[in-house]
Amino acid sequence: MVLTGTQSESITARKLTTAKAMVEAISQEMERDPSIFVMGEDVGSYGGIFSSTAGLLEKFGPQRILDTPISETAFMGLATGAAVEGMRPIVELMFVDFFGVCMDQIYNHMAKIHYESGGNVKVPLVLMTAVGGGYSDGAQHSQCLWGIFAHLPGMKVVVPSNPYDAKGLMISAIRDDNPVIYMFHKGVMGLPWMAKNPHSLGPVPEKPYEVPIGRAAIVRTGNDLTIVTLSMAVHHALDAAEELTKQGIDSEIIDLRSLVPLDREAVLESVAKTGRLLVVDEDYQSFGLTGEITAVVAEKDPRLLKAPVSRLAIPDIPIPYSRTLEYAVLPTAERIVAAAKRVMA
Amino acid sequence: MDVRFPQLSHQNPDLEGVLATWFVSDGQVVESDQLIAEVQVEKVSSEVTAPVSGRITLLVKEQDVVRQNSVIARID
Repeated sequence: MVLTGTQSESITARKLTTAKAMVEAISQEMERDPSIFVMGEDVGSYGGIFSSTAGLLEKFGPQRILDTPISETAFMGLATGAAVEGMRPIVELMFVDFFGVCMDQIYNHMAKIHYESGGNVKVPLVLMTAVGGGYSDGAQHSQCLWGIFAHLPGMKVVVPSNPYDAKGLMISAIRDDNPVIYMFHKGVMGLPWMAKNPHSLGPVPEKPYEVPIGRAAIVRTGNDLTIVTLSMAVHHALDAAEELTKQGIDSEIIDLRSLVPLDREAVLESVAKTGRLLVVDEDYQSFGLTGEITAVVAEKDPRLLKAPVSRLAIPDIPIPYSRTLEYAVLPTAERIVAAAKRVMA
Repeated sequence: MDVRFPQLSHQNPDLEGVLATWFVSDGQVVESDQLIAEVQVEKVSSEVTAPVSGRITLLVKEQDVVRQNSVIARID
């Protein structure tokens, strides 16, 4: 658990969008290590449909930045094979929603080779993928699904919410000898064609640095209520916290940043202080992250709680295309405020 | 020195674009070649870098609609 003092803003600090922070991390690591390469659909001349690889083809050429055919099973297998043979691939799954067609390569091969080989074979691979909704892209292009990847053993799962963590977690993921699933929310990338989100721009050091995998960040300190969340919902929670303050409720917000490994200590320490827990997730509710975080407290000591836990996640329905209906199910600031007040009641 | 909105559409020089993101604050000291803005014309985006070093004055706001080639900032 760390306070994000490293992000403290100064007027002269250089700012980047999350997308540019990711690209800078990949680029700096590729300059350092020739075994790193990037592949995926439209990662080359298009620069990634969410700009996660913009400019890399021009810099590193088609030998190291590879556009693949629309055949996720084939290129996930290719990435795993390359990693087993000693390279360090970064492979992009354009939308996490497409995982279904290549999941055997991911969870039966990429994730299990290290274990099945008795620890003799390493799979140093980064699978980066776009997640999240809020821009009317429909039920098959708006999901988060990190609960699925975090459920299956053998992969680390990281979920940055801001430019600083995006760069540091990408560098940590690339340097890690395990397969790391790197899930970036489209709403924090800072793309010119998306709705403006002020949280998608932030200070990013120019030199390479690591953000440790498995460490949550307290992005706001408070005494009345702990809000555990991640990714885009961190920003909704910060907006909600301002409104809650006006109503006399002082909330503490934990950005998990990593799901595997999970920083259980950070959750427990905060709940021990506040005695109240609201878990906010943009993934589906049942059998997911909100239940897992609740279990962390329930298994350790339910007496930490002064009030029942509350969960705010996507209700168990496909994500609607209609903007009005979509925002009725997303964990918006308004819904977080309402849920927090229920916990405090 | 004036910083202009880049000419992204050569076929239609009168086309307007959007100042999507300022990476610097008004009054900040910038260095030559530093990334200062991202702009967009008809879904094509482009980066704007500082032509010289100096103190920057921003003349348009984020999300403002701006004609190509018009002045968006000044560096003194």
